[in-house]
Amino acid sequence: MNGLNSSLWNPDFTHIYVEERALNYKETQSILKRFPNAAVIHIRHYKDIFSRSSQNFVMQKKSQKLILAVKEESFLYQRAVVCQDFGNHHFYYTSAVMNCIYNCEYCYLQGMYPSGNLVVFVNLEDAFSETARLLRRHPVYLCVSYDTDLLGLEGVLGHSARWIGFAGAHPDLKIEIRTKSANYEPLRGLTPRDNVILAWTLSPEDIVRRYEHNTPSLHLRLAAIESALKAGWRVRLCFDPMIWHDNWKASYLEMVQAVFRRIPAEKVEDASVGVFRVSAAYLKPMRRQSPSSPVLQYPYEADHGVYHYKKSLSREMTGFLQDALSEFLSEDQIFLWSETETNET
Amino acid sequence: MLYLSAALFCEAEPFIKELNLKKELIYHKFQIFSNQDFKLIITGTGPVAAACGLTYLLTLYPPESGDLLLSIGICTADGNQELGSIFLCNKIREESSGRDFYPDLLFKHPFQEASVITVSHVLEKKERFHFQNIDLADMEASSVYQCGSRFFQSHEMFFLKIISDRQEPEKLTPTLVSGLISPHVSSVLAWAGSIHSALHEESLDFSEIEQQKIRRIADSLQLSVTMGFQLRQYCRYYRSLHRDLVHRLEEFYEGFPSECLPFNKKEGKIHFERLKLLLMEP
Repeated sequence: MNGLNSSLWNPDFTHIYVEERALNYKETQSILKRFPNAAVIHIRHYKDIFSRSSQNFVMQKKSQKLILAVKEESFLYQRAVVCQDFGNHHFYYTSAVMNCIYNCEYCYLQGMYPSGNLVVFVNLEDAFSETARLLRRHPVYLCVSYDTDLLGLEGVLGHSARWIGFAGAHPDLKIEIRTKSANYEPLRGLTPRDNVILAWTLSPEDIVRRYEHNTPSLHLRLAAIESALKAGWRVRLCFDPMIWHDNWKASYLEMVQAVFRRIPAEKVEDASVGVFRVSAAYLKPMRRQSPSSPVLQYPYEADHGVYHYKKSLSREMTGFLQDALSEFLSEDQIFLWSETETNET
Repeated sequence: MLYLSAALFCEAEPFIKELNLKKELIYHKFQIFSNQDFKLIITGTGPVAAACGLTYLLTLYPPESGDLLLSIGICTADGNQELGSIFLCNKIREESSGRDFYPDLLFKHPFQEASVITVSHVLEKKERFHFQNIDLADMEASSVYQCGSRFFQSHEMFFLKIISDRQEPEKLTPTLVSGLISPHVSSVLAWAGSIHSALHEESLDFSEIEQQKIRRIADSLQLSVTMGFQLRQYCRYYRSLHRDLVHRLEEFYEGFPSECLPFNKKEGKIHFERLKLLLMEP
């Protein structure tokens, strides 16, 4: 399918579906202005299009559509089993955007969402209000770029800047903005905050080329990290998910060396390491839609509803990267994901 | 296969002629025309007839992944659009239920886009076109969408409407309808053909010969049901990296003297572990 004639497909965002009640939101108008040639189709509820039956996530990612909606339910969710908490209590994530502009072959969103289209909830203010209410009860650690890549969308949405501004006014809130983007520019004029962590997911260049479609190269991500560190941002490096391949040791070692040739290790906040794992319920549709994908067709082992590499291989991969990183980072800076986290929950 | 659905013979006739489709004389409930690459059904007018007809066709000839469904037909409009204009529907409303349906619009196309409402009766002149934010009205699209969704993925269905009248159905004749549709036939077929030829999707299913080899090995090694599932997943992984799964399975199997087969369960397990390693080789 990758060889399909690209002239056949509409470019992304040729059509924007807008909930009738979202029409009058300032954010809706601002987004629509950015796509003056898009066909705007009015819808009653985003689920009428996002949750249709018989959709093909992989095909839809070839010509992604934008859906603008108003979120009625809670914006905040508690940590999922397969996520690291970095030692934080009161760990939450929020999804003001559903889906991502990148197209990573191993991404769990393919199994989690029925559609490859991008939903943006234009009532971000409600997420701020909800977070402020929660902060009255206890401090909050919040991943704001969770089922999406906010920095990759920053030119269109500006959500990262708004969250950073909100965090500036709420010292008990710590936010993590996770990304594969190399788009540092929108953050350049902002004041770095102690309670904001910019977290870059990094993979070896061959994994980026092979599986992380439409994402910036490792080299470009490192350039963005370098700029962020120079400006004084707290930066987390996420080597997660590690993907097994026949040359994985050399590949990950080369990546670690490339990272710290470019990035001053003493300025890095911390790093996370985890092998690929995915909920069993998600992997089934992912495999069906991508029969030729080695990363999805790999014969993973199922354990407590999560598919992952054999435990011995998981340990070997994690340990190998941990050793490589410990040349540059201290032990307490490296957070490891292990299957036991899944089993204990 | 490309499936075409039309309510009336006069809507279908230009396609039948262009494609040189032959009537399948064994079917009497509905008229079906076909050739090697196309199946066309004339469903009759209205939502129920459309759903019945299409289900009949798709049950007789179940589509495979990558096949396409084209719904072609006339419609009425209120606006200033010219008679004979063709539209690709981006939104379909069912009048009776108020539900909206949205066909995927993944592919470039040479048509204008419009929303359509499906009504269950012919709109007369005295009934003004009173549908807010809707461009066209027809009598089949919502049913074809709902029925088609049971057989096709959402990006495999297309709804093309040609304006035949402005609520003056009494002026329509079969010749007029065919005459409005004919000018669009070649562009519709060329467009749909280019998508269809590019949309050959790979399947998770094994080919007949791959299945035979897998079954033979599973039997010879006396694999349990769970181990059988494992074997199939290892084979899928191998196939995602290499193209010669059959060859690899034959190599493995042919190494065994026939008098050893089938192995007992213990030996089978040992050989299965060896096969897994073979299938994981880069």
